[in-house]
Amino acid sequence: MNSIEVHNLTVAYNQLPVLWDVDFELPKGQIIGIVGPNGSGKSTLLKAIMGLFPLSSGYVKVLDSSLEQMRSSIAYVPQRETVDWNFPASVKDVVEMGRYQPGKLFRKLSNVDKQLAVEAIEKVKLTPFMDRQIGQLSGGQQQRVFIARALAQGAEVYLMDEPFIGVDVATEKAIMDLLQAMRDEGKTIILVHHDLQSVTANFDYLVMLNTRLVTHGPIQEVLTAENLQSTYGGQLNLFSQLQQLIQTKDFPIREKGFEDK
Amino acid sequence: MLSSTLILVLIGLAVISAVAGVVGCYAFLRKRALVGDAVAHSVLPGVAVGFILSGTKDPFYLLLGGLVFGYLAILSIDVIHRKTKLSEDSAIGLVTTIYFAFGSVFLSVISNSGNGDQAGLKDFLFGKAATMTEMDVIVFLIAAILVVISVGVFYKPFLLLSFNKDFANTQGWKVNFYETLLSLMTVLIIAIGLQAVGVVLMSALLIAPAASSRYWTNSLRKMMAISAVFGAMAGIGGGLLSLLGEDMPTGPWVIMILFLFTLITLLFAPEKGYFFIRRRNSNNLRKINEENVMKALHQLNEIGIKEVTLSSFLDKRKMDTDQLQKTFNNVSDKDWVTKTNDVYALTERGAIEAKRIVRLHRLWELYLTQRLNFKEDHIHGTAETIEHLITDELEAQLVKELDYPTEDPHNKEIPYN
Repeated sequence: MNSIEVHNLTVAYNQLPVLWDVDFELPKGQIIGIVGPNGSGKSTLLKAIMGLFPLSSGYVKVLDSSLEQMRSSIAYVPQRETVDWNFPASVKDVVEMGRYQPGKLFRKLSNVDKQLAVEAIEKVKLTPFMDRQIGQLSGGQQQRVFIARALAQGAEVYLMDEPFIGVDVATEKAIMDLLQAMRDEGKTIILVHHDLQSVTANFDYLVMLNTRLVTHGPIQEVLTAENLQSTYGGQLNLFSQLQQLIQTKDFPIREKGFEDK
Repeated sequence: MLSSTLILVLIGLAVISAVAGVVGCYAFLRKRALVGDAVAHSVLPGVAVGFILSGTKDPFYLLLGGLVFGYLAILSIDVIHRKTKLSEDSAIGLVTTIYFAFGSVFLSVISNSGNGDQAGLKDFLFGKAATMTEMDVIVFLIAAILVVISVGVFYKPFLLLSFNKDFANTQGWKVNFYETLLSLMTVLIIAIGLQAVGVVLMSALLIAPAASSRYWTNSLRKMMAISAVFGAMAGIGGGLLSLLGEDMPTGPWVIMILFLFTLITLLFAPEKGYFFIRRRNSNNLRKINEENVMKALHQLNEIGIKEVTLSSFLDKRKMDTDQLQKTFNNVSDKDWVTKTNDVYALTERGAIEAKRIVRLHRLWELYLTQRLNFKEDHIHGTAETIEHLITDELEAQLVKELDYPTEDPHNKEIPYN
């Protein structure tokens, strides 16, 4: 069984194609890094998998089923700076959001829900800060609040967008330990990571991305000088000129209504 | 003297303003204050069209017209922003003024046709509570109750939507539906609020109570409650004041009272208010002075000086004389020093406290040199500040990490109890 399967995925942002014809299947129970330079479409890929972006083409499968069917089995950890941390909510409030069930408006959080939230907070070592307003936490602590919220969801597959950004070394290690413990319980962790230096050694599997898929596979196999060069060696000139052309001419990325018979 | 009409009007005002305060919390937290302003301006042509089409001032038709146009305004902003390359604030600016221009034209058409005064539509510009009828108040109350129920029922999606929309989406909430609902509620409140404060000031009724209430609490539920109370009090107060004079608009009075609340908030709120910050600063200063004096007494003890007077202390340490006198008074109140005639000496408890400060100072110096590779001649300055900040827990960690050291980098003893 695959954790995530992506087929012919193309996504455009303001008409600029940021992901072109990406196609891969990812295994279960591993820590999978999505790496690539700035603007290579890493975050967009996560968002596209989570259904946050309209797809120009292709489809996504989660645990061999549609995203809609698997919503409760997949958890998303957005980038830390996408929310206003001044929001009137405590650590507990945010983590309990992980226990909300869409559509069930009148359902109060049960004691089990609350207990799961408390346990998630414990796992990320934020118990002493449980009732603190989230703006009064350090960057690393805020990141852990988001991870705890995902843990509270009790999912099988976790998609994390840059969980190591703006985080101190000690927190980085603490988060990595936690992810490894999750993996050892059979969970799948897919995370976007911009920097090849630090934590990559702890990944099991890599997706190397630069608008198009460079390669993917177990880390020992794909982490080669050649792959790094094609991932990080700058945009292909002709390719990016074409991208620009599509944007300025407002051209459709995919034709419609004209197919081979 | 309070007539029954007056009481009715005040109830109407209080309810509108309170509910605007509640809904305003979401507009405020979603950073959509300007959209509220655009909607308020856009409701005006809707009210006029409602009047023209129905031919009556029946609040139901006016509200309906206002709702349709207010929601159209929100859609217009969205479409302009998405389909053109204009930024959102430009789109809001365009929509605000264009709809308002249409509204003004419609009003003058109605006025020229001779029944404008009778309709009292001009009061929508600045609000005139006195013109409210019993029917108006009943319609407002129903709308207000609907909004309060919605906020209660949809608390979870509204919270998710305001805090982290992407997350709500990934959890499977119908975010578009709840966003539309929230927008419609905002439009509804604005449409009924126009009667109270008018087009120009409506966005203040939405945002000012929310912005003030945020200072008083870190909980969304409490924030909505406080915001409602601020709104209601401003509604009643503004209503009473506007009734004092003939032909006085309600809106400006309501907003001025809200401004007063905002001012009080900025001065007195906990954590972020002016007086709180001032008191915290002076507490910090007093703590620093006290701990510096205690530390000096310990150091004098180390070289055999057990008793000091103000002037003998000042021979050894530089400090403002008044400050020193005050600080000595403080520490003797705390029983850290004894005063006999003009001579001060450490008590047993004072000696422990003095040791603590010296210990923290020297521990931090050691930490800086050992762990952070600071040069010895650079550590004293930072340690002077940090010694006042280190908590008991941090001290325990420091001692453990440095493995129970006995000497600081200058080979001075680190005193333990």
